Amino acid sequence: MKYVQPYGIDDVNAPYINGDPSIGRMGSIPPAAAFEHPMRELVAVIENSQMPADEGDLEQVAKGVRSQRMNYVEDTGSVNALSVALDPPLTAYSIGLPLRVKVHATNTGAATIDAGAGSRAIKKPTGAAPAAGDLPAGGLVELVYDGTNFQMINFGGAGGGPGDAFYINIPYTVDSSVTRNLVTANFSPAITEIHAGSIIMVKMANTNNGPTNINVNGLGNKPIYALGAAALLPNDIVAGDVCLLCYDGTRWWTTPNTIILENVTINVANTTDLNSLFAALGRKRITPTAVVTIKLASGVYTPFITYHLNADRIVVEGTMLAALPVTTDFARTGNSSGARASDSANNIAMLRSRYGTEIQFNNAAVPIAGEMIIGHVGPGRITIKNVLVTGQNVYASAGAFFGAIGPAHGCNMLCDGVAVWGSGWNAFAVSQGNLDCIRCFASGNHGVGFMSYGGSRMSLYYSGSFGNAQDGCQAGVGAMLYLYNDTICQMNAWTGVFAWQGSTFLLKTTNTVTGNALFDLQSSDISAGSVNAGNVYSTASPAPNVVGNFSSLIRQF
Amino acid sequence: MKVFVFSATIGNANPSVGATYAETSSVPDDAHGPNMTVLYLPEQAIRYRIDQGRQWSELVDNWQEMQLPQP
Repeated sequence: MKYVQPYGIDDVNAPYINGDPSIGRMGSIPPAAAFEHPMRELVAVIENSQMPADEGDLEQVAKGVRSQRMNYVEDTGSVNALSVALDPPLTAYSIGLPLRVKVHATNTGAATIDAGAGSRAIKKPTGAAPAAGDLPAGGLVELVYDGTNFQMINFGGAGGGPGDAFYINIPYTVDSSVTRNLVTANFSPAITEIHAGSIIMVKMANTNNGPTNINVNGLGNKPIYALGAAALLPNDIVAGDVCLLCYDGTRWWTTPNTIILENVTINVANTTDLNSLFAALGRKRITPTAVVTIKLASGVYTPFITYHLNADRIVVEGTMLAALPVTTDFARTGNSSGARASDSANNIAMLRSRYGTEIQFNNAAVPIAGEMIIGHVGPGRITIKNVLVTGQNVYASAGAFFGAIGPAHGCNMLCDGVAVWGSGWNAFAVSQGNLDCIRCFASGNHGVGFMSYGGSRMSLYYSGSFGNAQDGCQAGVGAMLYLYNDTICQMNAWTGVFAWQGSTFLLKTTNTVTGNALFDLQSSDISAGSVNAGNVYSTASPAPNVVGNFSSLIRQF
Repeated sequence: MKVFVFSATIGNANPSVGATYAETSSVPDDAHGPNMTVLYLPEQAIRYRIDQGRQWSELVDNWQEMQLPQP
């Protein structure tokens, strides 16, 4: 539409003037186009806004403009190739041109639109092509022409789809420390401040063997903690690892390496720390050539239960004040109640002068009913070493617990240099599992000194069972008991070594079983004992090499 | 059956058994020392009990009536 000047005037921009008879001036004559053209423009706005022109409504242009109906179009194209037709048709795209398009078919990737002036790409505001599903069928997408493409103004508002990938460069450096348990991370350009949420990556130079600090560009040492735990365990960082660390305002956190590659010693001072350590060690595996020694400081501990998948490579070791006791250190004056009580008092004094780590328990403190006071569950034969286990020196009750120390039912344990005194029931015990004892001593207990039961196997080396209120050693119900080397079993209130109900015992080399109240050796009910030459005992039931006690035998070689 | 009973318990209702053998066994009467009493009894004169988690052998209540002559 153009400006229509007054009729008969050549100047295309000539204004209209009013007539004034007082001065004899003729007014402008409006040509027909001056009325027709504006009306047709306005009617076009009304009708292209999909409204019927109505002579009774003089606000239709306002309503049409407000509806913005002229920029709404419905897609009739195909997948990824939208096509719309506007009225009046577009012959060119002007920058800033908005279109509101109802999508016909959900896109499967990059898409174009042809709005009458040719096909153009549809882009997200980031410049990326829409991902599959960003233009869902039936959805309204608002597009604005940017001079090259149509940009989606309402990306994510209707269809969704996966977000864009934004790549961030995390600061990275190589640890320059030559000291274990200290990480020196000098970044270039330098990190001048760290704050909660800071993230860095460091290629580690050393394998840690304990709690570890990191110093970032000289900003001061900060501790590194392992996710899910606390201070680092040994080998949580292995030389060559690239660790991602996140700062919480106090310390750096990282995902720990799962392997322990070398022999390590971890010190603990109390049972709480010990239990926490085993909980943390649960995330670690120990290589077949490594041993983890958990060193218990001198002090009094409460009972504990151990568990680890690689327990066969874990040693829980107490602290000695003096040399481990040997059999000759124990008082063994007789098997009467009075003699045993006197010997017991002397023996605990001797034991406490030797052992710095003592685990005390009372008869009511049974971690797992019917199980061990100090026990091990799970796979692997754990080693418990150089600890003194003491009870209340008061009889509990039959079966109050199974033993003061030993593996849980079906599990394995090695006791090395362990002494048990004053247990209210059995001292060392095993059921349906294996227990090996080296340099172990049971004295003054109110049950059996060494109990192998229910299909178990127990072996004793250089050990002793003295002055206990029941048998010194017992194998019951299909169990096996081996006394290998220089084990001494004396002054017990019942039998020295007893096998019953399908059980066996073996006295292999230079063991001594004497002075026990009932018999030194005894087998009954299809049980057998095998005694090599060189072992010492005085009494046996049945008599050696004679079948008795219901198909039982003690074979003396 | 040749039964060795702890002499200290022989006065009890159920004396404690220390060892048993077949009647034809050549085990001498002093095989288990001087504190044992040797009896000849049928197998049913002996019973078992589990006490303190351990198996024990002892004579039944009327064991006196079941004694056998020495072979």
